[in-house]
Amino acid sequence: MPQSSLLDMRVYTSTEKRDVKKVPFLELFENRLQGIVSSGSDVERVYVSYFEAGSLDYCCSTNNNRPCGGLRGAPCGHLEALLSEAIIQFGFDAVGRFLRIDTTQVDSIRKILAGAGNNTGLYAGEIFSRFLGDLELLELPSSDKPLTTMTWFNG
Amino acid sequence: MLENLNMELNGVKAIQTTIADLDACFLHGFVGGQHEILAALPALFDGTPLYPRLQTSVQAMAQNTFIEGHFVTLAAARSSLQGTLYDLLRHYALTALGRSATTPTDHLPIAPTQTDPLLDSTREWLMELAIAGFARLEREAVTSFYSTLTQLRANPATVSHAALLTGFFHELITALPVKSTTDVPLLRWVDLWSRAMLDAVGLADPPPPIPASGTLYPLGVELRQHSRFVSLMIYGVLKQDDVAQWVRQTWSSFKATAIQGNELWLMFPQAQPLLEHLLQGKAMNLRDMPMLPYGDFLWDANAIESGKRFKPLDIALAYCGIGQALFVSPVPPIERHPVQLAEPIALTNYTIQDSHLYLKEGVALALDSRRAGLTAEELTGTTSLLGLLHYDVGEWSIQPLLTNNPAGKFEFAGRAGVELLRKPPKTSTVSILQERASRLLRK
Repeated sequence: MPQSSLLDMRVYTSTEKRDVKKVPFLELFENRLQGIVSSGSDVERVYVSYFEAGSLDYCCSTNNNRPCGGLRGAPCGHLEALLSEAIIQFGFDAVGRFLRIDTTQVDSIRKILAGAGNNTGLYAGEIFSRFLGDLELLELPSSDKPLTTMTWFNG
Repeated sequence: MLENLNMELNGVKAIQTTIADLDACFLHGFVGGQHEILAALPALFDGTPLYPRLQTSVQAMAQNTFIEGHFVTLAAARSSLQGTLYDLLRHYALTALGRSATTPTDHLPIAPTQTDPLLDSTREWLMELAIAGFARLEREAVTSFYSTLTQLRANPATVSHAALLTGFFHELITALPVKSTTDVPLLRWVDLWSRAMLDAVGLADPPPPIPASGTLYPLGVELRQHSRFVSLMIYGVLKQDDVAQWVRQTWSSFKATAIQGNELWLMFPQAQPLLEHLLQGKAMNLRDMPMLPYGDFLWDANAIESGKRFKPLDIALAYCGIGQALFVSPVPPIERHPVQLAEPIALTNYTIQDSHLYLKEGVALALDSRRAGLTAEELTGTTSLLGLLHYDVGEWSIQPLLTNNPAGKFEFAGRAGVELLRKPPKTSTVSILQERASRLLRK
């Protein structure tokens, strides 16, 4: 059977709308579902949150490296928002597969949260840098030239 | 005529096998054991300008001399094999479509005129990937490229490089660690690797645009995307005097990863006037629109005037039907690859079944399942369509762009996005993130 030059599926597109005001950035990267969650009260403050794949250990802190007050032995509202927005962006199956969850048993956000691990207490400042890197992409000049290199990225 | 597409294609399989053999070297890396495969290459290029260079590189690699120039040689050899496949397949397609293959722009030389230290680092990185092998990639070997990549993005002259490399980079990162060799999309990754390597040889001066005047009938749109970049392509037929030519306009932009789905269209406000004409079935009169030799416009909003209404399917059938003398430029020689085959084709008298288009002549064409286009469901009950003919995974397929619905109105792939762009919402993922970017990045 000959191989394909293209990706074998189209980009996942959700029917539900992402709330980017609340979670402006998230990604499945290295061994973590990680992202940035806006503070409900202060526009200048954001939370840096992540879940580790496999253990489902988690952490949430402000971008000034102060632990989130909502963490009391269980994932806070920011982590819940991160998880539910990730499911909108990538789909439940993709997020479950990445976190190494058995999605035949654990089939809801509630069940994932119930099976969460421990607070790592380790602030991950690089997530905030990656968020800024993502926003910088919006500031780059656009192009009006033909770009046949994009033919491989069938959407 | 179209039944010729079902024929066994002479020579195609032999070239595909040679490419697959070469690609096998990239799976486990250039650490030994490739000698036999590499040694067989030069003979295939006997009498071509590549021959002496291949001889030298293959001999050097047999002695485990790995320098970047030898990997450029391999990229060139592989790209010419893919280019030959493109020419061969295109010849079959044009014969089946009853189109002439005269291409006056065929021999425009492309030679790099500038080097760039970022491109030197790119070639270096690509060589390291090849030496390691895709099945044995370590994270650091991939991520070491990140800073070069961000710098490539910032330069408009290397946007094509940056678009490809950003997509490739993140695809590799996402795939790591590679658990099994069967998880490696080898053909695709060596395709991306080869194109990136050749493009990184240097920067060529872009060919000068030629002014084009006539009537433009916009007929279709397509989005191409990866997580951080999106391209919008608008297709149409340009009627200049007695010549009908298939033309394109491309707009592209980097994007934040959260921008997805129909909101992607909001990245292209500059495309709105042209898309509005597509939506309304209205032609455009062009006067001295800059056009590149291969049928791509460099859009100039001052070169247009609104024209008359037209029926898109009538125009598509008149110019893109079987046996119609449509002029379709091939892609520039250095970019030729089967994935770039996209011959416009307008059809009537078909039925849709099992994701295939069955034609009266007994020909079946698969509906392209990998590219964005109208689906089997959207085509049910329609009587004519315009699509692009492609070749992948050893078969021909069609990517439908435009059709007519039973009420006599036309429908095109991407309409929902075009309508969103026409009336952009007050707040969207794009506007929210643009606002965040200006607040956070200017601190």
